[in-house]
Amino acid sequence: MKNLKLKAARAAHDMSQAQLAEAVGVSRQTIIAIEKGDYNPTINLCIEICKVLDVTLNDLFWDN
Amino acid sequence: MTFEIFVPWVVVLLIVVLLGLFFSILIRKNHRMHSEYDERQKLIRAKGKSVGFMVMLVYYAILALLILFDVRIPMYTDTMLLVGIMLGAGSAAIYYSLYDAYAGMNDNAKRLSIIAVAVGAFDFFVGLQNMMSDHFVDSHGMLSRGIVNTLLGGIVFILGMIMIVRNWKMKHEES
Repeated sequence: MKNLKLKAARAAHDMSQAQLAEAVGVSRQTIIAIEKGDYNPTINLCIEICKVLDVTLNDLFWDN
Repeated sequence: MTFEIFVPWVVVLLIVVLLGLFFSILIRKNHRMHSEYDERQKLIRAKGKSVGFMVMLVYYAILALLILFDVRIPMYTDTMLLVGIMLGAGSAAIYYSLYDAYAGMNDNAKRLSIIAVAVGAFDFFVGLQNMMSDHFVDSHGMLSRGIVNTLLGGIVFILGMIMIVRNWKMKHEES
């Protein structure tokens, strides 16, 4: 399932996929895969992404 | 293959394996030469290794069945064995590139893909030329050993093309 929340949070911070990938320490293809729903990141990666985007895990990775 | 050719061939193979081991240890110790992969790429690469291994297993199983039923395979033994290894390694590499896990985060994917296409094409045509000079099938009715180069060149060329297409596709996706 696509992760549109991640896309929105990234856009809110005016960050490109490449910038987010570099900040988090993964490849751009991994960020693309997470946003497309093709890859489920580990909890550590989820935490790193949340730290960079200054949001909680619930905000990005929990289905309401 | 006569014994006189076999012994130096084995010696050369041993030297190549030892050199390969030496350089792989050297690269392991020098972290700057490492390709760095993120968690997703490591997962894909682990899966790709299984895919490559399965392809190799299937190839050798088919070969074993053919030999069991006395089907004549017009290939020298060394060629048959090498083709299996190449198919396995090639399948793994192609799997990596299909899922953007071939080039590491610190690798220049564009440069790698161009090199792969160039080297693959060159190797393919050199192999083809070798085969044509042997008339594809030699005087013993066996497929020319140039098939090894041709196949390897083809695999590397396909790998390079997949990487180029994936890089182009990614460039045009939203950034």
